[in-house]
Amino acid sequence: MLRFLIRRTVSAALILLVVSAVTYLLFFALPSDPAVLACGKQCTPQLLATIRHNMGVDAPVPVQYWRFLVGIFAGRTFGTASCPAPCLGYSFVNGQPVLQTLLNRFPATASVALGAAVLVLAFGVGAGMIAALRRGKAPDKVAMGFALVGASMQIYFFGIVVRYILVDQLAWLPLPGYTSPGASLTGWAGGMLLPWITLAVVNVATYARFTRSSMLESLGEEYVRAVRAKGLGPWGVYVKHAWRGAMTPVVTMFGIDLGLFLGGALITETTFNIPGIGKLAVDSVADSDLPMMMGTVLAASTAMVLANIAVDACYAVIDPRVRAL
Amino acid sequence: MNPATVNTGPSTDDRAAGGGAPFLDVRDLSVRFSTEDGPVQAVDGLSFSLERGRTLGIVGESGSGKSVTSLAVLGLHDRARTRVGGSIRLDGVELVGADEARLRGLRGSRMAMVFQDALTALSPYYSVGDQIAETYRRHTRCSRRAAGERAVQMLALVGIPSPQTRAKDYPHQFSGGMRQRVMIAMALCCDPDLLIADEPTTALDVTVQAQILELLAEVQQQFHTSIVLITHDLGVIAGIADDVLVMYAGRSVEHGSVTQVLAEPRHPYTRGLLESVPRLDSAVDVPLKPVPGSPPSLLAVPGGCAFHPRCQSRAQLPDDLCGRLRPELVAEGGHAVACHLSAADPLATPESNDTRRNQGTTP
Repeated sequence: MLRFLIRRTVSAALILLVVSAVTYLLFFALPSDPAVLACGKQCTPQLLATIRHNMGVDAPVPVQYWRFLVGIFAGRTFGTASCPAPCLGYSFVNGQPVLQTLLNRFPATASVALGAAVLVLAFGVGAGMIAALRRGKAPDKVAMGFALVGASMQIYFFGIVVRYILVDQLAWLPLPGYTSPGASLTGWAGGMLLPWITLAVVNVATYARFTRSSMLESLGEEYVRAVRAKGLGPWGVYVKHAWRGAMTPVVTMFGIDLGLFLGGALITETTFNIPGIGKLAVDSVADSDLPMMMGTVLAASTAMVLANIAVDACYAVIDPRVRAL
Repeated sequence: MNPATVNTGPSTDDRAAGGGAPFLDVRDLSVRFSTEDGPVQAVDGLSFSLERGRTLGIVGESGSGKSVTSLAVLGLHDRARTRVGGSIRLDGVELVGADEARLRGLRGSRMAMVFQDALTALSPYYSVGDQIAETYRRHTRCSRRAAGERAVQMLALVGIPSPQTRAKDYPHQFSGGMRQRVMIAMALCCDPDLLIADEPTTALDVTVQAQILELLAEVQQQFHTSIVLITHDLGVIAGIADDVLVMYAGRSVEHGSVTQVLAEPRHPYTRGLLESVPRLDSAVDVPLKPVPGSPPSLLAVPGGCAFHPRCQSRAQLPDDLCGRLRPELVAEGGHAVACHLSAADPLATPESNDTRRNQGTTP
């Protein structure tokens, strides 16, 4: 297990390195120059040069990237300000430290992600199980019909329609938004309801279909028949044995989706104006805010990589045959 | 003698001595299921009985209906797609049409099953001890601890070395033979009266096969278990069975004691099966003699005698009798066979053929 973790951590670090390097290069492939943007209308060449220097964008790109990496591990200085490790730099737009901004934004993202994940898992797996056990019957058809509709939905369409009906017209739900759960638990849950429901509806479908097909496969296994031959009832047959065999692909997908959500649900956060990491990422790209953008990319890829490690660790817990490897 | 059981083979005689109905009594069993390609009559008019402590071997090629029969006894067929007719009585209790809860109570406790491949029939996700204990707890409602002890005890009984530690291992950590022993331990943990073993040795190599068969025989001695042994291997039958039932295309074609059927096979199919077994006492360069042709699809069972397209003796009868008329199972001194060639024998007149058939199908 220790060797497994070491191996995975090393490969995770490599992945993050590649992702950050590619993002850095892509940024400079953009036609917009952050220094020009920051310089404003009455820009003189001298002022532009100073701004370039302060931003650190006057050096060649590989040197800049190297400084960025060094900053993460050893800290760096910008002009007179020193930024201790791990330093992700300061926003080009408002001068805020990137790391602190990410940390401030994380609770909103985590709220959206975890709530949606719980809903997705409960309803997706539940519907998929029922569909598999009632294969070809009405519950199967209804669940799979809804799955098809849900899978065809887009958040920016579905979210806005639902908001218009449930919030603006019927006023059944409070306005979506983020309130710290520390400040008001009901305010937090109320503001999160719409993002949760939207994100869940769009993703539940995939889980229902995955669970259904995986369960059907599992139900066809000889050992499930053997469990019935032992006289076990529905709980033992379907949950303890069949679901145990069927859960691996669902867990895989869940881990990856959780990683995605925790890295910032871009569209959901933008649609409902939730100040999370996803919204931050969209804004920083629009503002050509390189340090902030690098921060959000690193945050998202870290979440993803960690989720993958967690999924692999789960395999070992679920399936004893994996432990031997 | 009860006329309804005339064609059930030699176990009839044992029952006559003991009195009452046989322990397992299958009458005119039919299993039909619908598939995407049409309805399939997997088992048709099958009758047999089995006494306590005896072994019945059911032989046949794949698709002959032997596994379907065993699943029907346990009620493990897909209820939505399958129609089971006839009667299966276990110790007087009718199993055909019994409700699921009742069958669930019997499965694993009074009747248990050993599957062909223990690697696929044991769950890979739980330790073997847990899987045995689970069965025991289901039927005895005992404590976790007691069930765990029972599991270790059963593993010891079937000859697993250091059962205490091995109980914590998972199926993939056992060798094929040991895994099959685990399977048998699991089947036996509630002291079942009936053990159905579906090709229990097919997935094993020959030396291990012998050990597993020996184990089954020992267990039978000790617990007086009735065993239905399903196999395509006549060597296995010769070693362990008391009676033999040969199935072809869902029907019984020959049924009798092991000595009768193996020493004096009367159905051309049985003879073909016996001839296809390689012999140690013949020259090495004698080629194997397989039964020509392949088993029929149950979607399109040949008319008349289902075996006639592959039968090398059918030319002995005039007018394509075998292709037109299905031979009925006719018993002769406890040795039943469904073949026109036997019926043409002066000993079995057409009259006795008819009466016996009627008796056989009206229990």
